[in-house]
Amino acid sequence: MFRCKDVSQKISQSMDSALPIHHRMAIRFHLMMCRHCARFRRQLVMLRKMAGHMEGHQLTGEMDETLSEAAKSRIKETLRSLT
Amino acid sequence: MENPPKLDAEAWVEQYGDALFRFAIARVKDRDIAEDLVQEAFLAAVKSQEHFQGKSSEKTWLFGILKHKIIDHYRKSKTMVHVQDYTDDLDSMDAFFNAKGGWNAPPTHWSGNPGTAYETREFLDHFYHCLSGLPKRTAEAFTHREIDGLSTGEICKRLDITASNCWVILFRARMLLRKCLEMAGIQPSSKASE
Repeated sequence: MFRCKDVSQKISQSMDSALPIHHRMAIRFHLMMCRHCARFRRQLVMLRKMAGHMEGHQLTGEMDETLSEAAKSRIKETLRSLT
Repeated sequence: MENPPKLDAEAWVEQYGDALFRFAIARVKDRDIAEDLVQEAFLAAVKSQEHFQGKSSEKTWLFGILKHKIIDHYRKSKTMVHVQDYTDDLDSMDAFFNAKGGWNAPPTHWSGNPGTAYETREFLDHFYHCLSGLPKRTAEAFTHREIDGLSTGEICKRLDITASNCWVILFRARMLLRKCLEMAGIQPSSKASE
């Protein structure tokens, strides 16, 4: 049977690839009995959501801030020099 | 694969410049640095535009690049939350578990509504700082995976590592991130903490 150390690693791996069925079953079984690993799994899902939401409108903060005209021209100038 | 349409870099500046700048300044709190980061992001975008496959919107793609630049900036500055560096093997995860393979310090309950946690500024600031405090390659793997949405196969290629190495790095990134957030005493959403 998997230990928490193995299960936590498998949980992480399951977020990146499809695990073999016997691993999935073992994880599910372990999670039914282990609230720590169950919590760990929920937190990984949350981390993924956080990462995915790092550009929402709530992040943009200072809504009246704009890139200065000087900065815009400077950036365009730099971009032109590339091409 | 067919070629993506040619992108108009100068039009980007008009169209997305302000939004990117607002995003950057909210994170770094400094106009000059924010401007530089936006410029760097545009430059990187032009140089890597063949990687833009139209899977995401132009805007999302540009924000993704800017996020990398911000994280790099945090990493270079000394004000970050420091997370101890770890080597690449699984043994380095031993600190998290006891000899029997159980949790040394089990994950604690994160109060607040998980659905709204990531919407609070404070929380996202913690997230950024924790991410930028990770070892470089660990943070790169995580941002490639969770922010850019690359597959582990693509990450392996970019970082020139094996698949099993990639899983280990991502595992470590997640372990360290959640630990760092926990240590920062996250209260994901004060208004939803009841």
